[in-house]
Amino acid sequence: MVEKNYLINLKKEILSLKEKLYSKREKVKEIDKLIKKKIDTPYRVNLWELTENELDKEMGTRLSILNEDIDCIPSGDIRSHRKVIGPFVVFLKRIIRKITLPYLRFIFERQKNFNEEIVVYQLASFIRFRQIDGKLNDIKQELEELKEKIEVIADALNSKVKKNEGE
Amino acid sequence: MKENNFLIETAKYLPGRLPSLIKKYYRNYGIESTNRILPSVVFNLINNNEFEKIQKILPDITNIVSKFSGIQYAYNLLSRIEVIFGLRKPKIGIYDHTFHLIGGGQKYGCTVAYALQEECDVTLIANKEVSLEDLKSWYDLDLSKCEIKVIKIPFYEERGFREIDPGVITFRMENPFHIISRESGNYDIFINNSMLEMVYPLSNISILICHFPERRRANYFYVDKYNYIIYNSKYTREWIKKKWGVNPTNHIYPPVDMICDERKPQKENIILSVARFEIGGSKQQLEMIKAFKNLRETYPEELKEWKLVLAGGSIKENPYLNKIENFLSSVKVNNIELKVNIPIEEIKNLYKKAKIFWHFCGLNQTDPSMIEHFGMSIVEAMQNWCVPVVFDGGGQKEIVEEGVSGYRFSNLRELKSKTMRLIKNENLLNKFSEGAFLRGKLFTKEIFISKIKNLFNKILISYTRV
Repeated sequence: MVEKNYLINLKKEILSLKEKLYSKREKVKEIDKLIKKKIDTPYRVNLWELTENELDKEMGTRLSILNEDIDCIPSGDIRSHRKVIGPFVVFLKRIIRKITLPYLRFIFERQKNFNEEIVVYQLASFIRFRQIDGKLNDIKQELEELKEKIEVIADALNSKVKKNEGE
Repeated sequence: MKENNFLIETAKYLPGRLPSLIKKYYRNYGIESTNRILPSVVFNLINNNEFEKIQKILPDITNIVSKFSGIQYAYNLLSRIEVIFGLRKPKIGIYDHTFHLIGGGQKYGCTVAYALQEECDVTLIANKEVSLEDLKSWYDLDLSKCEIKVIKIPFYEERGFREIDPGVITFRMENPFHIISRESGNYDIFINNSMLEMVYPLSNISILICHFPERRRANYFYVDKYNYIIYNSKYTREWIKKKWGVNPTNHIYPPVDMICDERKPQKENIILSVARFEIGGSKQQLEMIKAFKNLRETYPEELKEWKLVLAGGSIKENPYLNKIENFLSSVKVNNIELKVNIPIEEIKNLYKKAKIFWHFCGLNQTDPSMIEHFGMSIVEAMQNWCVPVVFDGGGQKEIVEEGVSGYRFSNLRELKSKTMRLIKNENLLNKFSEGAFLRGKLFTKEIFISKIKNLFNKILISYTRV
């Protein structure tokens, strides 16, 4: 049986160990590193499984991603994670970019224009699709209302027929 | 097995050799099997040795565990040892990103907290300001032994989002909910009450309560990392399997506590609906009005004394509510009352007075999320001797037994004929009213609490024993 004093000391000991671990934990940013396990694996959505609403949302999301990616001309900082030869690698990459970019820019510009057109075209299709969907829903609703009206008329006729039969 | 015993015997009699042996064990048998045996090794070490020895060895073991299994696992190991030796109560964290809003799902989480607050230290983790007083007034639950911790999510705060919508997160963004994942590591048991699949649980025991799988499986999907998945209805269970491809573990219906009296109250000729006036119109109050109007036109004599009352909450600017009001003023139908944002006492009074309860949610819908996942308001009505006539789909099928405690319908024609059957036949109405009351008693708060306590007793027994 564990004694009372022992437990008090144990509590303190565990608490101090936990505090140390806690402060270490706060310094680690990635959860993968915290548990020494990879937590994310890429997942491809099966579009055939999605409902109408989900597909709508998916189309919107994908379109906005395409929109973000229109410009494919290389930009931004060149970096290297290597500690010693890093600066040299960065220098080399910068020179290569400077030399090749004027020649590649023409291709990239064409690609950018093409991307722009594609995104606009997709957006137009999306809007058109929405409009058709809206019209279809209106027609469905009208049909339902007509069905209801027919039901009312049928009920009224039936009750009249019954009344006449009674008489 | 032999190796496990050897490790435990070493912990008992040769504690000095334990750190190097654990290292070897990690290398030979891998992380998973070492993690499994570690709690009982540390337990035996503490139980059979003097404190001075423990003081020397435990930090070494912690360092080795940190190195091989990660800092979080070492932290969790010590947390479990604390609980095993009774140094403190188990700590439970219940997370819901919508705790600041009133709703059935939130009531579910709060009632779990209420059930466990005596035996455990319960913290409610919210993302927006909310107080225990708010929760008490909304759900009539005394949560005075719980704590509230508000953790704001920078992604949503910086962008000025009014509500936390996980649906806006795409795979290109960093997962903003990792701030909650990290928080989960501070508890023995972490309960994710908002079925937010993007929170990775780091606690020793993790539970996901799913009210309905709203989003599909995508990146940042960690539902399969939880030890237990509790679901609120069989309908939800089927969709968890279909949408997420995981098998939920425990079924507990939501708590409903609206029983006013064991005796049937004096009833009036009221058809009642209690449902939020959703902007999208998913509760279909407009269809109810049309159906009632149509019934009154077809059966003017029988429905002369009857009225339809539509009660429910609504936001300030609600286009759907405007549409309803416009419709009512344009067709000038009598005997239809709208009761928007009325106090709970008035709602209770309506339940007491109404004879029939209509619920259309799910009618003409193809999207499974638009169909009622459970239907708390239906049970509330039934607990007040109100006969439900509800759409035959979703969780409603599990509540209303056709022809015993109410009726279910698939289309408006069926609704009308079944409603008229009840209105024309007082005996049938009385019989169903009794059936509804008896059925409603199966979903009470007491039953919910006893189920929650049973489940957590089992979990805690296995957690505190090695």
